[in-house]
Amino acid sequence: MTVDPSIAIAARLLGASVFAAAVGGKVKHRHELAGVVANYRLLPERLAAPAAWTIVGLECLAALSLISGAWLTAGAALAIALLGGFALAMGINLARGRGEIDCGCFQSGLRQRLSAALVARNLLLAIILSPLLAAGPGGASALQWIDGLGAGLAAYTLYQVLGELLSLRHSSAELRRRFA
Amino acid sequence: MLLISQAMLWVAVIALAVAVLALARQVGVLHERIAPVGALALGRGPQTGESAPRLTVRTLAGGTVEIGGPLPAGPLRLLFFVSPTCPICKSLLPTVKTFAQSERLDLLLIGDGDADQQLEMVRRHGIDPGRFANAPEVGRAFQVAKLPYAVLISETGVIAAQGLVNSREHLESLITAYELGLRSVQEYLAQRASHSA
Repeated sequence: MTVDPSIAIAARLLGASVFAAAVGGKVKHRHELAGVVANYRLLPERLAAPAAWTIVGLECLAALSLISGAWLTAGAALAIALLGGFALAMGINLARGRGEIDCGCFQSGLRQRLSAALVARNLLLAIILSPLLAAGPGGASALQWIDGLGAGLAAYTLYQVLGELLSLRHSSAELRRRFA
Repeated sequence: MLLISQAMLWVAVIALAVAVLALARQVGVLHERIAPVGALALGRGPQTGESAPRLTVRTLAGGTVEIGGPLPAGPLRLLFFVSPTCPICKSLLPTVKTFAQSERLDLLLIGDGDADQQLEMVRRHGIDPGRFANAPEVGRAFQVAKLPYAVLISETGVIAAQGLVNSREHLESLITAYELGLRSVQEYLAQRASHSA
């Protein structure tokens, strides 16, 4: 079964933007990066920095593959694996009761704590990217390009809105607690 | 025709999504402004108004500093508890440095953890190693549970104000609390509520 080219284009654009933004945020906050990874307490302390930069490198590869279409199946698989891995890391820490740590999303000015919603967001992104695993090289018509680019851009903007609303939810809960 | 109308629709959808994003960001900015009402006192360990525990600690430069007891020099002392594994601590360090300078505070950073990592942090942020002590016993004495935590000690060795700090406003609230003679942001809010009631 092949996927409609417009869906593939939208998923590629969304995935590439998400990973490019993630790389940008991590590079911008590079001094905090190792600390954030160490806070997950999944790796020995001294592996935190190498792991952090490996993640940044893999995210770069995923973004490049998705935007260029080169080795698309591998790129999509890598992207899905990364999203799943992050969801797993967050899930483990939530299960340990360590939801207070920073998620390391660096998406909004506000600090973002771990939550089930973030895990769900990652899984949703992985589901959206999954059609790319079966995407053929089929050419797209002009209409399909317009639909794909429009839907991809709109989806990415809405993804950012979601991130913003999630961190707002935490900070308003904190405000309520503080003034209670 | 279909191409153009489709393109126009997408432009409209994206414009709306961008508008919603801008609104959400604005609310986020408002939250950032409102949230830092003051350093949150945690209500454990030595309380404000009590004498600070007396301890002698060794700084990274090799000298010793005494915590607690009357201070030899005039200024108030600010203890700032940090850790190399606490991202907020690091982003707050430059602010703490300039804050201590402008308020003429005697700043002493207290770390708890790996000595090499702390030396690295001191180097990266241009901190005087003579003002940084790797001394977990201080954190235990003040019962610091969350970082970054700040304690303001008066000339007489009494805890003037303390709390969890996440921003410059939080740090300033410590000085304000000291000047107003209040013990914590909670006390200030309670006082304000009773005035308006």
